[in-house]
Amino acid sequence: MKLLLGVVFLMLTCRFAAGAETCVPLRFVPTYGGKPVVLEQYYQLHGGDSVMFETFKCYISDITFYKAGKQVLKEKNSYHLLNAENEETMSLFIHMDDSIHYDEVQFNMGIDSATSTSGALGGDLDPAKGMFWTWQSGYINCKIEGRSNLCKTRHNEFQLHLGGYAVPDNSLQEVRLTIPEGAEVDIVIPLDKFLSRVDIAKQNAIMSPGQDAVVVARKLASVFEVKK
Amino acid sequence: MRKTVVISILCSAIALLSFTVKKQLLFTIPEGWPKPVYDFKKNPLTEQKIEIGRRLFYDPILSRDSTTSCNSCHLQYTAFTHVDHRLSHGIDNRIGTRNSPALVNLAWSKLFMWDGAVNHLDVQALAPIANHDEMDESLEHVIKKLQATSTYPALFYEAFGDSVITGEVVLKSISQFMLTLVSANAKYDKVKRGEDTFSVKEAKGYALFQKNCASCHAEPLFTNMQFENNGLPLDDSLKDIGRMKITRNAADSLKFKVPTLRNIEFSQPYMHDGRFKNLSQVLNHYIMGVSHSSTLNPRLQKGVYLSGNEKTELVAFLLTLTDKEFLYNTKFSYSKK
Ligand code: HEC
Ligand code: HEC
Repeated sequence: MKLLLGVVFLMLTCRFAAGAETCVPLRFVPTYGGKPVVLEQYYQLHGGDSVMFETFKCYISDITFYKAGKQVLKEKNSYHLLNAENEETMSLFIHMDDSIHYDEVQFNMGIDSATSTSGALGGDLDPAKGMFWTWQSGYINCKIEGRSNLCKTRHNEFQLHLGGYAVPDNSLQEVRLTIPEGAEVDIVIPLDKFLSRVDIAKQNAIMSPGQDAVVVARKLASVFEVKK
Repeated sequence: MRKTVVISILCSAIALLSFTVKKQLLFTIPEGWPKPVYDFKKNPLTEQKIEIGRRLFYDPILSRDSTTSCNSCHLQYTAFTHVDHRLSHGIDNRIGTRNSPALVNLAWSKLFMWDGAVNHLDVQALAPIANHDEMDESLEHVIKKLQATSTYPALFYEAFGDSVITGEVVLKSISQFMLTLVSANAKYDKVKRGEDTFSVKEAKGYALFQKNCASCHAEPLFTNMQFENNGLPLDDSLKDIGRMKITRNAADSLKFKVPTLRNIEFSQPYMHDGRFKNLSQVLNHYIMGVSHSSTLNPRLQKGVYLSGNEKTELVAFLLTLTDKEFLYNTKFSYSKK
């Protein structure tokens, strides 16, 4: 067990980057009103309505760095599951040679179709992580759940399970952001902005692949930004 | 020096040989069959892994209240289908919406379920485990239960080199067992290999089969692995649109996965909703029950004409697809170990 903790610790920091290697920390932060989201805490929406988040889980894959438009690094085996319940999953550490310069990062929000059809995989891709649809194969790329009085559903719940890999319902989204070199990068996901673009009074139960999932996933991807 | 080299070459040759012999025992492609779809490189078969899969297949620990196992709906003696039930029965006696298909030659299948909802054999087991009407469990919880047993952690350690059980290894083990369910030793196969001959009736039936049925139930697997509409009228209470449920493409309306006909003698009732009790009803459907709709397969638009005698002959041929060796192979039965 001690050994296991040690390994986790290693993954959590960049301090052990060896020799001529450097490591870029990417921290993902869902925010509301400019502050990090606290799960199960109610937030005000426009006009006196309120909203609370219970789950924020999202796959980030295929992380690639660019310099002046040219690809300089592609992370190998790049599949990460962010889970807001577990702070340490929200930071990713990308190791690279310190001769590499970059000014942009690109990643996918979700899991590509080849990986989605490759059977039982391990690590963050393990179907036991609860991010794989059981009755119709495929990963749930992002899962956002919570409650709002706007949702006329049982317990005012909303469940946005954004997935689907097959054309024309491929919900995977590409995100590309300009980033500063040599610093810790905070990628914020302003959920207030996201909710201003999605009508959760109507779209509060997305549980299967389809155009609804594609459209909402696109809106979610559109709010990712680098904290200045 | 030279001696040791020779010896080590010899040793590795023997190791290699015994390795290939062993491999052959675990899975062989029957002569003349196509290459399997399943990528064995990503999940190489071993005896221990197959054995875990076999145990899991027969273990009700996979269901919420430990009453239902895979075997509850997929019985070996009926080619791993659910005999006598039109729609499968699961936990709390709840009735599902479809008839359980036979589990044979799954290594050659690309998509699973009547509508192809499952895209890989490895992730197939997730569906019944989580289905409210079947086993009503979650893989996360199954893993906790397995980890807490006195037997499984050691078995997984032996097979995968780690006693920490993950979803990946549970699913891969179940796949391993299912991959070994190869049926290729029916009378039909023996005739093809020149070890036996058809009776006159069977031979006539074979010709009728090739003319009327083989476009979909293609040899040697007796399925072309496609989704087809074979003219079953829509059941108003189930309203099952088949493949279209997954692709949401109207061109796939009422299309279902073409099932294999191997061991068809024992896998009644027939069709996705188990609507036919016997082969005579199935033939009557093809002769006079085909419902015409826009997605009906062109072969069936032409109609199937069979006299009373021809029906008997065709059934005689279908019975040559029974593989007793498969149905009674103790390697596929409940593990007494
Ligand atoms: C309650 C009954 C029930 C149980 C329990 C059950 N199944 Fe099934 N199985 C079915 C039904 C019904 C289908 C077809 C479902 C469909 O098409 O929607 C099916 C389909 C399958 C298929 C697809 C076959 C093909 O050719 O497409 C496989 C493989 C399978 N089951 C394996 C399993 C395994 C492994 C387990 C245990 C983890 C299991 N089943 C438990 C009823 C059951
Ligand atoms: C157009 C393609 C097509 C042709 C031609 C065809 N079938 Fe089928 N067959 C299917 C499909 C698809 C199913 C499954 C349909 C369903 O359940 O909705 C099926 C199901 C069956 C079943 C039930 C299998 C099971 O396990 O439930 C039998 C038996 C069968 N066919 C026999 C025949 C025979 C005999 C012929 C020739 C007279 C024939 N079929 C011709 C496509 C075809």
